[in-house]
Amino acid sequence: MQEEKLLIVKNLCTSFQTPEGVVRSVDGVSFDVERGETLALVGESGCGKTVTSLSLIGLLADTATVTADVMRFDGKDLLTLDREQRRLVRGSGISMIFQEPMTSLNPVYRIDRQIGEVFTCHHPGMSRKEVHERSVEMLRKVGVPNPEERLKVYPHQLSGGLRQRVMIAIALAAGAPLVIADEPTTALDVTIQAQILQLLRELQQGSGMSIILITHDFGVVSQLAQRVAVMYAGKIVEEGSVEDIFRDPQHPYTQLLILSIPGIKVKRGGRLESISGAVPNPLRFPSGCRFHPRCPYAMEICRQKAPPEIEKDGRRVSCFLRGGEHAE
Amino acid sequence: MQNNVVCSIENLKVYFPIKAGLAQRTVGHIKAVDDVSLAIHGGETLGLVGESGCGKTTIGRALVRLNEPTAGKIIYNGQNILELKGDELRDLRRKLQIVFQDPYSSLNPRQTVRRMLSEVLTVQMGMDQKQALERTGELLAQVGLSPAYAPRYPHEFSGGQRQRVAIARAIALQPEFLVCDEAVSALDVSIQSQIINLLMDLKEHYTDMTYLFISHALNVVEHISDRVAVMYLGRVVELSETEELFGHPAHPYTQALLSAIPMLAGREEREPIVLKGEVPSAGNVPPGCRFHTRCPYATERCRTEEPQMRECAPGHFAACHLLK
Ligand SMILES: Nc1ncnc2c1ncn2[C@@H]1O[C@H](COP(=O)(O)OP(=O)(O)OP(=O)(O)O)[C@@H](O)[C@H]1O
Ligand SMILES: Nc1ncnc2c1ncn2[C@@H]1O[C@H](COP(=O)(O)OP(=O)(O)OP(=O)(O)O)[C@@H](O)[C@H]1O
Ligand code: SF4
Ligand SMILES: [Mg+2]
Ligand SMILES: [Mg+2]
Repeated sequence: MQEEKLLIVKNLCTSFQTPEGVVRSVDGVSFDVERGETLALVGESGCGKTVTSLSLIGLLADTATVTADVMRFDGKDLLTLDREQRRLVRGSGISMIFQEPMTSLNPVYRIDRQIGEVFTCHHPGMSRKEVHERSVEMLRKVGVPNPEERLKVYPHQLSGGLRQRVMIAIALAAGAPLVIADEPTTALDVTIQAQILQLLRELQQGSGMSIILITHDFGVVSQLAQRVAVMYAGKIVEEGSVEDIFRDPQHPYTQLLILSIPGIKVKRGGRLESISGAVPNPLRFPSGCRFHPRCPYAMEICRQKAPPEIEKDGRRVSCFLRGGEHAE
Repeated sequence: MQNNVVCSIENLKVYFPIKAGLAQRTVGHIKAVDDVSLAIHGGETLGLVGESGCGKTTIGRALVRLNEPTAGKIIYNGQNILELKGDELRDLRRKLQIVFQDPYSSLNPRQTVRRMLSEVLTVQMGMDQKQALERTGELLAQVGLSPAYAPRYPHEFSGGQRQRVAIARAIALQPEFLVCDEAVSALDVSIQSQIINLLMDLKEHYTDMTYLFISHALNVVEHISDRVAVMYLGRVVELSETEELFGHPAHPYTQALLSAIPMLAGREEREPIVLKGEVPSAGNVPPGCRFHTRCPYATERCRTEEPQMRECAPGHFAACHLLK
């Protein structure tokens, strides 16, 4: 019998109640993650990447409503778990590296306590000495210099990049089978970034860990991920293997996104290209295809109908240019 | 480019005490910024780069008086800002703004964006309520946010949106001097480009606007900066005009740093220089050249004698014994 995928998500919808009305931040998102694989989630700032992952681990404000047809992790139905069971999944099944370190580090505890807790929680019998040794080792692995010294300080005494690495160490210490890494290397210089990516790859080879990687850095995507899902305004508009998406992006949004990667030489101080048109208002997403007001190829039908998802050759895309009612 | 110095950092030191034991006695100091001198010209964009933990944020915070330097001066328009108090300090705080590396902890969680911006605009910029609301909408649009976001609290934004709210707040005050600490790092390329264009447009509008642009994204620094300063372990080790620095890095640390930039179009491939050895602690700075423990060219002299900043080409300064 074929083993079930580690994570299966079908038709995930997450909305927030705000004084102005309901904001549908994630609107019908489906994807799955195989064991040992890295799925990258990319897309414009505010398109719903973080909310998608927080929905999986149930860490959202009280104003949020999460629904899905399927949300299975490691054979367990995440939708029917109660609070306590969810907490357990968060502790040992799915770890999260948060986008903003200060939101997840506790400002009033020293680093040794925060990382040590992870070890004592999973190995209640572990001696203090061993907890200390393992903490030092974990910090060293994520490239924190002088780990012994760093264990003794509070989060605000660390530089931005150190805080980020401490948080990565805490997330990886649990040894969870799925790690959600939300912009894990943004505050880091290229050398340390390379070291973190190398560590993630090693953990993957060693323990078969899976990763959901959220990033806006396509260099990082190509170094770590096998598949990419591209989000726009709360929906996945395209998904495929990293090679396919880079070589032959099918959705106009993906095409523009890949085109705006810097490195395509612009004169120093010159104007940089950005995708023109206003970013959508979250209270009133455009009708039809949500990208149509900014799409260079928009047709009449795009304004009226949402494009269906076309699956072909191991990739999927939602755009009338690629099929649907308008297809030749 | 003008050469009027608007801000002069002179022998700045910012040390943090290291406490130990139950009595929390001070047993040493983290020398986060250790004798930095920098002259920033009015109207220029000065890039500030260097390894994580080398002291970039600490310099930025000292400029806006958010930490107490241990020694040194910061002269802004003829005044030592470290001595300002009361009204003078308030006035300075409006002219000198900072966009923090960590927007989450810098925005008041109990204020909606509309309230935050309109308060700034009415109280500090003297606008009436109606003008302030209009300007709020404009500011949000400028940073790529729909004005529909105005009634929201900071936690109701995405990471990149929050970063842009912080930028909107900083530019609302029309500062003369803006410290951008990793201000565009959480943004996707398209919105990042939009914000960089905005920052450059502001400079065209207010000709004397000066930026200190701190970032790990070397391609962005190269694009936006007139000059770049490179820091290593609390000290500026190289300073030069941007093209000269990226074309002819003089200090071995800068050479290693630049060699690690992945695939930059239009530049010949360089073999990445991998630095060996552990990053030393700012609590225990190596003697001599502070880079000698990791420098591939270190000699005996480097281990004992500290190199001074020297002009190795016109306007190009570096601190390394190898330079004639
Ligand atoms: N608590 C909340 N209440 C209302 N809206 C919210 C809340 N949290 C997030 N949102 C909105 O949901 C949308 C998706 O947010 P999300 O954080 O998932 O974006 P993202 O793709 O991670 O973006 P970024 O790259 O900027 O981090 C955004 O428009 C955001 O403003
Ligand atoms: N309040 C503080 N107390 C003690 N040490 C501190 C404090 N603030 C900063 N430090 C230390 O000072 C050094 C410089 O920190 P700083 O935040 O300036 O680095 P940075 O260059 O901005 O690094 P990054 O790129 O990681 O943000 C670091 O070793 C940091 O841990
Ligand atoms: S002075 Fe010596 S050790 Fe220091 S950077 Fe130059 S060559 Fe290297
Ligand atoms: Mg996010
Ligand atoms: Mg910093």
